Amino acid sequence: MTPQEMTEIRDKRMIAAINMEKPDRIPISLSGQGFFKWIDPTAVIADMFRRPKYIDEITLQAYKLPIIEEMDSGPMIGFTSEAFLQSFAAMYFAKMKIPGRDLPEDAIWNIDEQGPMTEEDYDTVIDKGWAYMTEELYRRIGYDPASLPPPDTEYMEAMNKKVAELGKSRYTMGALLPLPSFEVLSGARKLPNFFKDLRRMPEKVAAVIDIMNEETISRGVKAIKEGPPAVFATIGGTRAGSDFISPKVYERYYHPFFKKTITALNEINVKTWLHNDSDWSGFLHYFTEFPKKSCIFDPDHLTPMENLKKVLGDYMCIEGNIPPGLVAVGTPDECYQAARRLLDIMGDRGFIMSVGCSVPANAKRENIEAIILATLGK
Amino acid sequence: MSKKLTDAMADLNEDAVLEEVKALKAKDVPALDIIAYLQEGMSIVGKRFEEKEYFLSELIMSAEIFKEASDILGGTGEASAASKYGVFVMGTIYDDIHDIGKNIVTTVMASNGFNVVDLGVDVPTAKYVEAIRQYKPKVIGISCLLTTAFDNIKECIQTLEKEGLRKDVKILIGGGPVDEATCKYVRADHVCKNAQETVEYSKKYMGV
Repeated sequence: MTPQEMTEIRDKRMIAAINMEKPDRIPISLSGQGFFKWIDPTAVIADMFRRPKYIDEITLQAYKLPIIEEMDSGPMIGFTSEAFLQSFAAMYFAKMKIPGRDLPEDAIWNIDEQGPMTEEDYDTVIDKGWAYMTEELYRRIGYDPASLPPPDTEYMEAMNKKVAELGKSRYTMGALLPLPSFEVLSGARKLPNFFKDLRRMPEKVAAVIDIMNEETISRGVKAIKEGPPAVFATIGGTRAGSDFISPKVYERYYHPFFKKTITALNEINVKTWLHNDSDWSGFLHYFTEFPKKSCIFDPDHLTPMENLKKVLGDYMCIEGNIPPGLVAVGTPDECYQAARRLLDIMGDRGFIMSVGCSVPANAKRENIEAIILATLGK
Repeated sequence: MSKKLTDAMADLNEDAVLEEVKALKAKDVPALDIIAYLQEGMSIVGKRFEEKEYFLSELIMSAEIFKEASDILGGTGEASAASKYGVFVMGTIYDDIHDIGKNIVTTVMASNGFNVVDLGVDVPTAKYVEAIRQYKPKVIGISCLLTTAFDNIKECIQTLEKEGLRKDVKILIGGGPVDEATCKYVRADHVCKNAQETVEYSKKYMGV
């Protein structure tokens, strides 16, 4: 079978899962950024920044290992790691601490919150808009996208070709949408200050979030519309589980972002991939208001699969939900049993086997293999 | 008894808390008494959290307000002096700078009458060793949000064993990806899912 034919089979499998139809088998999306260590145990995370081409090369080799090759998802390679990570941190107006420079050689990168926005800046947003404030906050934290190394388009194209040769699905990663305004603002102010703002000046915070939603959602949806054809687009959220904030706060300050985004994406026939960390059990019912099959729920394992199945099982595909700690330090048998348990809960449709949040950089090869074998029924 | 201060703390009214603390201090009310009023308010915060009237966001906020109020009185050392129970040492393990979970736990422990020694984030093993020798806690907490730092907790606990500091201290771990498998791997005594569990375990162990 050619890689192209394999990609078609895997794409069909993924599309069936996210459309809640029965695929030929449950798709497996277990891509991780530390698989390179399975090929070269002396390589460290700092090498992703120091010698990225070597890391890309051995990552590709890892995806060709027996059993691992059964995964439907492919590797994320070919981009400049530091530029990507600094841009990611800047979404929270934070900086990224980089292994080998700010951290030990084999530590994972850490987001270092800066909280550059002041209480007075709420008025600035109301007067001048969020785009103005964003530029000002970037200036305050010293983030200048123009100063980051530009992407090496020639190299990226070469890597894309190599990934295509693996015959993986093209539908395991979507275009990234802006973060929910609640998340962005809590990063801009720092979390404790933001929560105090919510209590001290709720109307002003609400006014600013409304402005941010208006500006960022339309821009994000426009980018999806004008970009390459998309099946889904991804929103990430980490600070709004139902144990984290009250339903009242969620309804007023957070959910409107989802509502506007999911509705707008639906209009252009694009699904919303919800990468929602922490326990969302108490908020899952809010997502039943959207048309069936319009979202995919991607938890970080803290929302129990039983709750997801019970509330959202008839509404959307669910990805997950092996505990990331288990694949790092558990045994293959424990991982196999965890995967079997998820399969028993989820049945034969509307499910993608994965690790909650993402596969950690120190995932053991034998544990990932155990999850794959369990999913394949071996 | 300053019901006004206790209520303001319980209601997370930051301005009223700080104003009242300053007013009581100006009237020469002993710092330990003022801390006791704040702790009473924090107990109500904890109760409201258990009753799901408050959420983690309110606990985070309460931690900040409690700290600001303590600073007016000379720092959290004053709060420690007002503690009824034993010493609780806590930090986020090295190579990890997450602080929200740690701050919630230390504040809830302090407000429940423990003498809390907060080691901060990115804490090296040597600092845990030093703190155990200096403060002789019965329970310590290690927070961790990164699976890649699990080996650091393991190394820290192994070192405590080698240094002969393990037998008299219970080691609790917690954080998003931390679960029973992690607990077994790093050889901790218990994994705490939330701050309240840390309080309950510590009280039980200390025979309170």
